Amino acid sequence: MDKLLSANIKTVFQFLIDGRITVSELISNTLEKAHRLKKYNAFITLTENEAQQRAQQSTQRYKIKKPLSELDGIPIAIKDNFCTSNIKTTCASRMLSNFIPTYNATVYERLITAGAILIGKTNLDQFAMGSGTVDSVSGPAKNHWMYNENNDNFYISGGSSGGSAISVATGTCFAAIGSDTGGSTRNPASYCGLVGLKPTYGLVSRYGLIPLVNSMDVPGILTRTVDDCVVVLNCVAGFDPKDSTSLTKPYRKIRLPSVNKLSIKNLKVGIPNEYHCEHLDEEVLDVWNEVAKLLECNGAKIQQVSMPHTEYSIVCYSILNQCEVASNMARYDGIEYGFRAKEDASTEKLFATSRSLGFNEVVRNRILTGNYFLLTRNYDKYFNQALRVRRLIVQDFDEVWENVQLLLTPTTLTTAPLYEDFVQKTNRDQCALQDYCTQPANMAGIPAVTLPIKLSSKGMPISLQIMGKNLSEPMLLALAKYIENAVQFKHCTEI
Amino acid sequence: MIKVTKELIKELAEDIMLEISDEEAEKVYQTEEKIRNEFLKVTNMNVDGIDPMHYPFDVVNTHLREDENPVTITKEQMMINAPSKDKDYVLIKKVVK
Amino acid sequence: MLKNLCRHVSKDYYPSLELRRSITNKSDNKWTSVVGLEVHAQINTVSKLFSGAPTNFSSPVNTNVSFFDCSIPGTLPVLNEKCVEYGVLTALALNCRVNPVSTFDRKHYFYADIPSGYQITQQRHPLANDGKLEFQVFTPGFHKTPYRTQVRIKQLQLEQDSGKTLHDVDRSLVDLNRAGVPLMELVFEPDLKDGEEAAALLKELITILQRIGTCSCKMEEGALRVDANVSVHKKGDPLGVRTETKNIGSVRGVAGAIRYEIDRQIKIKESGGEIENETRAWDAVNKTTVAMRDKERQQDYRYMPEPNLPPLHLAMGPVEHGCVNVDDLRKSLPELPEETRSRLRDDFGLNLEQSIILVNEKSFLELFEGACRSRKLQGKLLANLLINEYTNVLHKMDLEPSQVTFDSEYFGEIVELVQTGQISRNIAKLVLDEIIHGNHKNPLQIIKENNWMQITDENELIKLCQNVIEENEKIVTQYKSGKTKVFKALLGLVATKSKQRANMAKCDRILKELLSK
Repeated sequence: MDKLLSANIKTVFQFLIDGRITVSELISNTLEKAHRLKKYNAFITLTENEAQQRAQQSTQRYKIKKPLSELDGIPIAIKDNFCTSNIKTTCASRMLSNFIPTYNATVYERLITAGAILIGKTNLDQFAMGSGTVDSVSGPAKNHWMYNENNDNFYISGGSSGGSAISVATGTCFAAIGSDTGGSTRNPASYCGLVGLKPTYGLVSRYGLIPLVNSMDVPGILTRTVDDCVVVLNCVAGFDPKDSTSLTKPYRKIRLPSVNKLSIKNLKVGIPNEYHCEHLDEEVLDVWNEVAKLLECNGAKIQQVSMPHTEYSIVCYSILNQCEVASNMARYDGIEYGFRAKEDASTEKLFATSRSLGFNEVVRNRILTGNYFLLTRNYDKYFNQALRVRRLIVQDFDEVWENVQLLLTPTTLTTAPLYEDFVQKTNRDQCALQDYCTQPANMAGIPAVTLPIKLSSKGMPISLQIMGKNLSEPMLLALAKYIENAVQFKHCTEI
Repeated sequence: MIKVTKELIKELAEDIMLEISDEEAEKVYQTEEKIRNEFLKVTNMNVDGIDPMHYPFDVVNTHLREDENPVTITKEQMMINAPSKDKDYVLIKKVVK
Repeated sequence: MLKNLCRHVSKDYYPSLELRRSITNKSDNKWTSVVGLEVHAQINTVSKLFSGAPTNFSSPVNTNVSFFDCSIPGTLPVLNEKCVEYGVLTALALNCRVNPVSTFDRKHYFYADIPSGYQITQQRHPLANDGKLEFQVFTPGFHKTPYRTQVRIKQLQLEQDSGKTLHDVDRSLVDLNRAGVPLMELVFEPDLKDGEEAAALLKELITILQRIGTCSCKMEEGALRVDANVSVHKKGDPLGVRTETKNIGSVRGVAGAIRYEIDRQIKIKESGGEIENETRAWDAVNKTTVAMRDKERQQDYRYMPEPNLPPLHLAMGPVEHGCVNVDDLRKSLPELPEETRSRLRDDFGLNLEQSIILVNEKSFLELFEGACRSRKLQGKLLANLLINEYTNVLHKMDLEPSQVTFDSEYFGEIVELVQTGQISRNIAKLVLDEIIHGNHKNPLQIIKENNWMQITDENELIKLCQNVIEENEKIVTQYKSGKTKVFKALLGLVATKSKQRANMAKCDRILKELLSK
């Protein structure tokens, strides 16, 4: 059974159709594994009752050979910043520790309509602010790669969707939903050796995703294979009238050709110079070169490109991020929901105390700096200026697409750092380093996918990122599938 | 040009309903200082003629909601997470304004 | 001193030179007052601005709420198309320039009735700018004759209304029914000079909004709220510090509040004091303005573009791609008040005052137009009967014109009967009184039953007048001795004796003739 939990969705679906296992059996095993692997702290909440109930319904559907889709009965996980009706949604914070939404996020709604089964809400950095999943009231998520039981110095899972990454990477479920604002899906996918997709902004509805930066957030998908990623994307993508930034263009389901039919002949792939920065690890650089060569040998046209505004991207992202966060956090006053302190003084004191106690230092810090930059006197100099530079960054991409179809870059500058090294730096500094290669895609709204290539000398996954222009997911994922097949990365799921 | 000081940070904290210690105000001040310095290279960029970009692409919003069939959530749904409430209202300590 | 001034008075506040006028304030002319209004009008839609919750006023507490309205995390705004249409329609009716692209902003501040910690509004790029409204100013009893003036509209923006907080002894209760209800904020330039002009502007605005159907204007329900900015300065001096009086809930309240505020400010300045740039509230009971609690520091709203709403594109002129078509809406505009007033004067011969009063009172206008539909009536007479006799009857019964539904057919019948001399105006008043009191019969029936037909026969009238003279020797003697004022009393006695049936014009002549003998 454990082997089956490590398989891909298509295989499991076939097993279910053939009656070789039932959904109830599948789910029981999944939940048992989740319990067994508690030490990695991937989950904040396990939704056992819900999962078992749905499993029964799904089992019935398979009995009469009427599954809802190829996701019917498949165990999945969702990051705990997506609203799930009647299931606690905490954002790993004290502020929302008891928050129970009474509506479903669209992404979740679409998955359960397709029959997928939620086994739990996954761990994250508080309110998705971070790139390590270390700043959580539930404690840090731990990377299972090179995990030493006896030594508590684990490698971080990455963030902020670390819990989602671990749940998939350990074979506890087949797919997980994360969110990606500056790399929060791709970063943990990279550190845990997974396929991590950041779709085009607006392609997947944000309704029900508790926002960090509304103009950059997207729901992200984490899976072990590119094909699995496509299955999930086809289920969740498409216009949602509840989200005004959702693209109205009708979504056409992606059908990737089988591996032997994939050809990259004459595919133009760009290598942006600016991503080769000073903190890039040697081994990651080597892998980048190897894969570029591999593609070239198989007919792709590789060329150097330049994106001159890349160096400004991270600091502009930082300003925009903080300002929007500051605004989005204004609603947490402990009145209609959320943490409320026991305070006998005036209402204002109550608001202030509730907010201060309900948020951790990282969040408080970001709210304050964000509000500082939103002050009228600062608005034009910082926020508006950052928005202008954002356009320049987008223009860099537009110019590049005149000459190439896709870009190949590292995802993270290094492999997963050790926890004790990681926490030496401030949250801000960590993000600045870890998000370097990923946040430009969020600034530009374009799709990006990360996939694992090989293990480093320390035994940790090294991944690369492919970026394409808006709505180029079919091409993006096709190239990813090609590379995936070429490198044959071995997942570490049997534990 | 108003000088950024720890006091300004505390004032701002008051405006946005956050209680912070002196120590924290100092840390925030340091962070802001750092960001401001890093941002200098951006501040000095020539962006004449460049419009701010709020959205990743120039989306023309054509989807608006029809004004029909209004729907309300129940009081129970509305107040399920409220820390303090009675049958009809969400409650808070007396507001003086 | 100048530094203080600069801090308090925004540079948007200075009116153009040609619109500065002097005030007529009691004894001296040395003070000039400047008034600017901000009006919040609830848009007349079925659902809210960004959520699908209902907007009806009298719903029980917390039953017009959606997840978005209580700012449950993860919920998103979706703009109501009708709100955009109504906003555009209003902008067109006020001669504004409708902007083909407008955006939404978040205005941040903390209060219990704003669950999200910010209000979504249109600060930077609103729906419309630079409008102009011409209107008549005429308060009967206050102004001798009507005069025309105009006011500029700085901007029209769409925004959310807030919820309500009710205060108990030791706690406050939050009701979110109103949270998210769509508002149009109309910002007028400070082109007005006093409370009466403000009241006239408001009346005109209400008439327009009701005509185009974009706002109910029920001030008692809070559907229309007015903030008045008032300042005074001596002629030749720069503008004075202004105060803002908020949430005035009636048209007369606006006139009263502004009048009070102008007087208050002048008194302070004349005694050497300074006006504080503050927010005040109108106390309608005591008819004063009172200072509201205010923060020492000016709050910075930290406006930020609303990231969940892409820019709003409107279709107009050559641009076809957009949610709402401005040109189509322009074509659909009904006749506006100023056009109606002109039409009443041109087509029906009414004078300016009559045309103003009729347009200001919707029920009068409806009666007028209804009555004229099937009969050829003298416009002026009809208008006079409405404005005088009809109004009189209503006042006696303590009724407002809007509270009464009077059959316009019947009204027309009454007017026709007066026109053809079959009844006197006094009788007409009696008939109106009957009908309003609940008599369902038609006017002619009522007149016949009460024997109210007018007496026009010369002989009969002579007899009548003769009788009155004989019965009132004292008064006749007074008249003959030079006290001509008592003639009215004699005429009144003739009317009473004839039970209001005598043709008073004829009696006037006959009585005079008889008395001269």
